[in-house]
Amino acid sequence: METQGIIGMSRLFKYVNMPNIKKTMRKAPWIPVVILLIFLVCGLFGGQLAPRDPFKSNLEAPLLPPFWQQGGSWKYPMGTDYMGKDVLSLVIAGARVSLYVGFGVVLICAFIGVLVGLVSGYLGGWVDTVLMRITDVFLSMPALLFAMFIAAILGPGINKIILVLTVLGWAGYARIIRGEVLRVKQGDFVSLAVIAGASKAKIMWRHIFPNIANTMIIVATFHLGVVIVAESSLSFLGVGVPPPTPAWGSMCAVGRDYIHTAWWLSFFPGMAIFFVVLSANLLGDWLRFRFDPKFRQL
Amino acid sequence: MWRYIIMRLIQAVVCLIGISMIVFFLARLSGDPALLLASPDATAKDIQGLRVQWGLDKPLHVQYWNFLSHAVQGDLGKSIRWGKPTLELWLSRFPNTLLLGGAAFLFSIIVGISIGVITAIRANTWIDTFGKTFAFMGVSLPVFWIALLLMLFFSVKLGWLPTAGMGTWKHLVMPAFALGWYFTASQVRISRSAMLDVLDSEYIKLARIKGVPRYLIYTRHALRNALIPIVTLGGLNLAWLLNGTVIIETIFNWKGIGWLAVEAIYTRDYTVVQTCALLGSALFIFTNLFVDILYAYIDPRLRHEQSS
Repeated sequence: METQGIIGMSRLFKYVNMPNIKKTMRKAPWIPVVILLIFLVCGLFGGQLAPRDPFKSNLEAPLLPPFWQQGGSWKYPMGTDYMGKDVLSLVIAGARVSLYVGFGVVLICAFIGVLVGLVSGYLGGWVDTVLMRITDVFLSMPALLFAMFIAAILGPGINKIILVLTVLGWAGYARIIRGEVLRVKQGDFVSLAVIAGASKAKIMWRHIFPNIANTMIIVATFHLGVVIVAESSLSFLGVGVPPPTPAWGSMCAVGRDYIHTAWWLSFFPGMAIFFVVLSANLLGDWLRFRFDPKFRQL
Repeated sequence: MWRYIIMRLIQAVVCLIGISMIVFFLARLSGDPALLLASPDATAKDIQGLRVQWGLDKPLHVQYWNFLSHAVQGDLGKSIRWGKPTLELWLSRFPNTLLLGGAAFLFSIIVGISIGVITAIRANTWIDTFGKTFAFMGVSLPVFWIALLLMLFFSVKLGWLPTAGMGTWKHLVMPAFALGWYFTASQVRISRSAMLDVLDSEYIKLARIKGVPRYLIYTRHALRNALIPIVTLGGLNLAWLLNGTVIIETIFNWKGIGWLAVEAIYTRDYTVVQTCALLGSALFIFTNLFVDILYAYIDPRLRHEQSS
């Protein structure tokens, strides 16, 4: 029994291929991953983590500078806003909006885009033509202008922002996934599956989708950064997340009015956006380098 | 070649019709325009009169058809707020956006290609890392934040440049830089990879063996062949640039089409919004079309493929 167990273990190691995993992980972009994890934790538990209540104003301490400037203190490391709210707590609490919108939009867009891309690329013919013309229309809308337009019609609200950014975001996935499907479906395993009598839906899901999943993840990682910037831009312009909810974009917009007196109001939330988006981009770049066969050969 | 151009032209027109539909129905979704047109103390009868006068009492598809047939003749309706034709308003603002976008475009092309080429020549050195970092920062920084930081530094701290408005070249520096940086980043990436591809090719090796001076290899042999993807991206960027001015124009009070659109959205001037969205998309689609045709023209491989 025991020897069998050991053989089983060694077999397991053979398949897991330990040295390779170590090699992979050594070159992983750890700093971006850690920043994204911090972002995730702040987004999920922001309310509990924030050192002070982000909604509680303290009118005795308005517009305090960050701790290293004269007048600032460690009590408010990033200073306070015009209502005396702690900027650090606001930045932590603001992660929730970006996280929710970012992941919400990316997941829905990936789902719709992959579905359209798979169907369009695999079935071809008039289905492909119709779907790709529709995709073209959505790709050639000036994104921000339309986002503002739709957001202004729908009115403010976090779920409406997700809707707006999904409408404008799915086409990019569809286009790229379709290209990949066209490449993958040339493979012999697809012809064999057809001969074996697999249904079209099964071929798409079981045989083609696993081969394009890498591409989808890479596109999604880059898209996360784009969505977070787009959401903050809409909030900055005042058509995004409505005021009582702390969001990085609207915090920057408030800071714009105080640019002459209180630079920290817009600096720190912007910094948060910058770090999260930069991390998503660096991670996406690494994933592409790692999983894209075109790059692996280099 | 001609067949290709005509096919692309038809595609562009179909695309534009699709967008006009979306724009039209979105604008109608935003509420009853007659209520916006009427003065606050208007009676129900007055409002009904306005509906008839503006053709808003007809069914939606008839309204769309009227809108489309007028649009083809260059009549995009009158602004509810200013009472002027929207096309006139748009055209009066467009040169300002063109100036801003053009300056940003020049900046991104010149800086982007230079950094891209230098990082490709010095691949895998600290210069390369620096260029890569620069490119990543460009695509990761929200445009409005760059604008705020620039304002903070050059206007508030140093007092060199005016915070907002337009008029002199000094007013143009910050908006153009803030707008251009994002596109510089993509230009750096594409120039770098295109140059790396070309530098790896046989004819560059031959030129090296022949003893051609380095600067000639880089400029005359390599860059010329790397130009195709660079030009393509440049064209696409120009289309994005002209449409990406919304935020920058709002922050810097730049009276261009972006700001016109923002103002119209805030004041619910739906005919102006319609015009902005439609002409913005048309600008985008036709710039893309132009780039595609240019691409087919400058790439000899593609040109022969199409004609044979």
